[in-house]
Parts: sequence; C-alpha cells; structure tokens
Amino acid sequence: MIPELSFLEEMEMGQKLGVDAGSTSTKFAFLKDGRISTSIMDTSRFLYGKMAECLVGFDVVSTGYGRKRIPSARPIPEIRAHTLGVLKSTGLEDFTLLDIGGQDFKVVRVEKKGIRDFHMNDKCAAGTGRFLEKMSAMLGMSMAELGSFRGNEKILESVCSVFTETELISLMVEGATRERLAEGVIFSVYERVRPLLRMFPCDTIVFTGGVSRCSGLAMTISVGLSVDVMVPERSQFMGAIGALSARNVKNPSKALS
Amino acid sequence: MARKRRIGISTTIPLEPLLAASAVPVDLNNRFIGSENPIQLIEEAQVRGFPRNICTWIKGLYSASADVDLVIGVVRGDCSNTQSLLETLESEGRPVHPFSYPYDRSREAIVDEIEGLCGLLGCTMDEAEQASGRLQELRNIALSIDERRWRELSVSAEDCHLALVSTSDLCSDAEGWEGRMSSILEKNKDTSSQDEGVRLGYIGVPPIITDIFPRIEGSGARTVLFEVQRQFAMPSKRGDWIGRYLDYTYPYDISGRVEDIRTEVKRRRIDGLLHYVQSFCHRQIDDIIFRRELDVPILTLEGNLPGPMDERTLIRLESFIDVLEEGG
Repeated sequence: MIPELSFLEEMEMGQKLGVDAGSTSTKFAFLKDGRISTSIMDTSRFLYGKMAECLVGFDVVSTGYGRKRIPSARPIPEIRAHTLGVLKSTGLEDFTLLDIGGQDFKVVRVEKKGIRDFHMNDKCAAGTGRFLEKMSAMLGMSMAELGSFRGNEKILESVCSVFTETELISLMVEGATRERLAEGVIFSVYERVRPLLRMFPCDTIVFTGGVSRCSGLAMTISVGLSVDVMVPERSQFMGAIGALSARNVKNPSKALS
Repeated sequence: MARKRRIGISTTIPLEPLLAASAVPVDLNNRFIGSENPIQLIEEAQVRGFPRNICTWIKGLYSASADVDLVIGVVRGDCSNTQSLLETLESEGRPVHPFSYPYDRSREAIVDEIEGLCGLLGCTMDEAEQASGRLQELRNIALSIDERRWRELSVSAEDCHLALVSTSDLCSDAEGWEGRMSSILEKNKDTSSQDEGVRLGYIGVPPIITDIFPRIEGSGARTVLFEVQRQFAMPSKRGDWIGRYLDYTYPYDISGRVEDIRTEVKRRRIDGLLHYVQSFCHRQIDDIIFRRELDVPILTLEGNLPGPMDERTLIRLESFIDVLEEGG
C-alpha cells in the first residue's frame, strides 16, 4: 500500500472519506477513533498513479479540481467544502474565509454559519502557492523560510508572476538583499488578496490552504487590515474536512460525469 | 439574377433597410464564433497587428469580415473599439459605415441614423417601414421560443439562446430563418418540463464560452433569461418600428437595462444572475451598478478566448449554484 494511503487499511468499507483533490496536493480526512484524521499526497501522483481506484468501496465525498476524477465519489463545490471545514474546525459563526491554495485563492463571507457571498481569483494565479514556490526557488529559500518574512512595503511592482521573476533578478543585480526581496514577495501576495478582503470587511479572517502556513503573510494581513487572522489547526485540510462533514450530498448527475 | 450584397454588421442594427434593399445581413460575431477555427481568426488579426490584450470579439470581427461587401459598425452604444476596427478596415480600402445609437436616445437622431442606412443601401424609409412588419413577425417567433423556455422549460437553454441571438442577422437567410426556428421547435417538441432546479438569468453580452448553457444545465440550474440576446429580438411592444430601436435597452444607458432585468427577474422567478463579461471590455465596469441596483445574487463570469468552459469557471459556477440551492 502507498504510504499516504495506508490509512485506508484501517478503515471499514463504506466508511465516509473526505477528499480534496487540489491543484498541487490531494488531502484526505476521515474519522479514526471518533476523531478527525488527515493524510496528504501529490495530486499528480494521486491522479496519474491511478490511486483514486483505491478509494472504491468507501463513501467518498470529493472537492477540488480533481473532484470528478474519483470513481464513485460524490463531488461538492469547493466553496461549500472549505466553509464547512472551517465551521467544523473552529466553531466560529461569522468570519471571512481566505483560502490560498496551489493556484487559486478564494474569499468567502460567512454570516451566522451561512455563505453570504464569495470571490475567487479568475484568469490569473499570481499570489498563489505556485507563485510562492517559484519565488522561493529564485531566492534560494525553502517555502517555510520565505513564509516567515513579513511584508511592510511595496518593493515589487509587477502584478504578473512571470514578470515578477524578471523584476526579482533585476533587483538582485542591483544588490537588494534576499531578506528584503522575500519581504517584497510576501507583501505582493498581501496586495493581491487585499482588495477582495476589503470587499468583505470583518473583524476575523480565517486563513486556510497551503499558503496559510506562511506565518509572515498572516501577520502582514493582520497588521495591514487591523484584523484578527486565525489560522486553524490543519489549515491545509479544510476542504477535505468539509467534504467529510458534508450532509445531503447529491449523487453526481449524468451530465457532470 | 444579381448577387445580393453581403453586409457585415458588428452587432444588432435596424435590419429593415437591409431587407428592403435586398441585402444580406451578416452578423460578424456569429460568423466568427460559428467558424470552424475561431482561434485561427484571432491569430490572423494579431498577425495584422491587433494587440493581444484587446477584446477577442473585435479581432474575430476583423478576420470574419474578409468576404463581405461592406461593414456597418456600431460605433456608439456597443463598443468603442469598433471605431478603430472600422478605421482599420477603411485604411485597407474596405467600404465601411459607422452607425450610432444616439446618446440622447432621441427619435430625431435615430431616424437620421436609419435614413443614413437607407441612403447607403439604396432604399427609402417607406420601403424600410414596409419590411418592418415581416421582420418583427420573425423576431416574435424567437420571443415565443423564449416564452416557452421560461414559462415551461420546454425548449433547451442552448436552443433558446441560439434563436434569440440569431435575430441579429436572421442567420443571413431571412427567407429560411423561420424554417430554422420550426426545426428548433420540432426538435424540442418532446422535451418534457425539466426538474425546476435553481433558476438563473444570464445578463451581459453573448458568451464566447461555447458550452456555457449546457454546462449550466449540467450543474443543475436552469437559464430562463437571456438578457441581451432577448433584446436583439426587440421585445418592446410599444410604439412603431422606429420606437423599437429606442426601447432597445442594450445600446443606451445602464438604467434601462437594470429596469428590464429587474422586471424579468421578478416575472421569471429568477434566483440568481450570471453576469457574463468579456476580457478587456469596458462593460466589466457595469458589474458595479448591477450589484448595487439588482437585489439578487450575481456571479460574474469572464471569458476571453472562444472554447469550452474552463475548470476554474466551472468551479465558480457550481459553487454559486450550490450557494443558491442552500438558500444562501
């Protein structure tokens, strides 16, 4: 058994499993001894390694880009999954959810546990996980190191990931320190999500998705907008936990399959 | 028999002078999006120097106009890029004619514009008026298909969209167009009423996403309003044939569109609106006013290149429908 899927051996057939097949990684959430447990693996391995077939026989509710590529899974939309995950994990009822994943970010306004409105980025993946991966490689830093920096001011002008790389090289040549450029990268992500967060003003922002592990970005948002930014435990797994806790999930329609 | 002149149009214009002058209208948008390889047409325009980051329709229109005898472009009321399109074509020696829906929405000004078309094509206003009765009969067929769609769901969303959008040029086949509409009705005659599902209104310019309406249906929602497409069929019953081009909401100020959408949202029991916008189009700004003025959830969908719906747009669409199903 593949290590990341070894948890399946301890599950009973027919048991419920939440799967968030995102653009970068696929996350799993399931109940073990009455508590939520999680696992993660690369989406490319999961989908192209035909590992989705291992899930046949379980009661799978799926979300994310690959949600319809899992045989017998019942897919639910991402906004619902992520919101449910946060509701389940935090107990909060009113908040603005910011989820930054591998290639998208979503902002959801939740009031009295209900989704009031949402925005997702469209046509451009600047400011997402892929962007940070690129930048960390350029700066010769790990993602964890890059994510620890806090941005205070605008250093990078470009709004495009590709052009930002060019700009970064120019600034390196001019002698800018790696630390200053890292701060600039974090600030540029903040600038990317700021207008969307400002559309849904709220005292509490719940920050989730892979990028939420960047503590410096969370701090930048908190200081910049004067709000509390809460990063829940297992913040990368909200979609999978939401899928696990979803009720009244319809079977996929023929038109969608 | 002399070959009929083929007149390219950049959007809906008064068709009466064209029909009276026995000219064939060719909606270049439909020509572009319906061509075998629309992406190739865009590339042709870019090779000629059209910028990459400008509306795709304009580039498609440019290339699709290659074999028409004259291009009538709407330079006020639709898209200001059309002015540059006409000037580019003119500089290449192509016959063009600018048409304007007047900013002041006055009868005098629209009459001047229509007279201009009559003079250009070689017919009189009386002859144009004589053509108007038959033209509106044809448009009313499309409007009756629209009625069947929203009242009974007994016509598919895609067919309803095609019927309405094709009233701009009657598929360049005014004589045969009625037969096409009969085919649509025949094809849908056994369509039983579908499950209700969430009822959506589509507002904004016609989509460049080629499978948008089947995708919406596949996501469990029903499109029951096609705002601009319906306007192409001149639904206003007030006034005479000239008055219809003043009641036509699309080319004038947005308040008329808001009022029309508001009325139809109520009448058609619409749960949410999809506002389609084209990348690089000034009409994206209209979104602000629609969201402020219309008391119904709105999802804005942006399209750039022709083709099927991308996964990202589908995710957003499904989430919107899901939220509506849950009652917000």
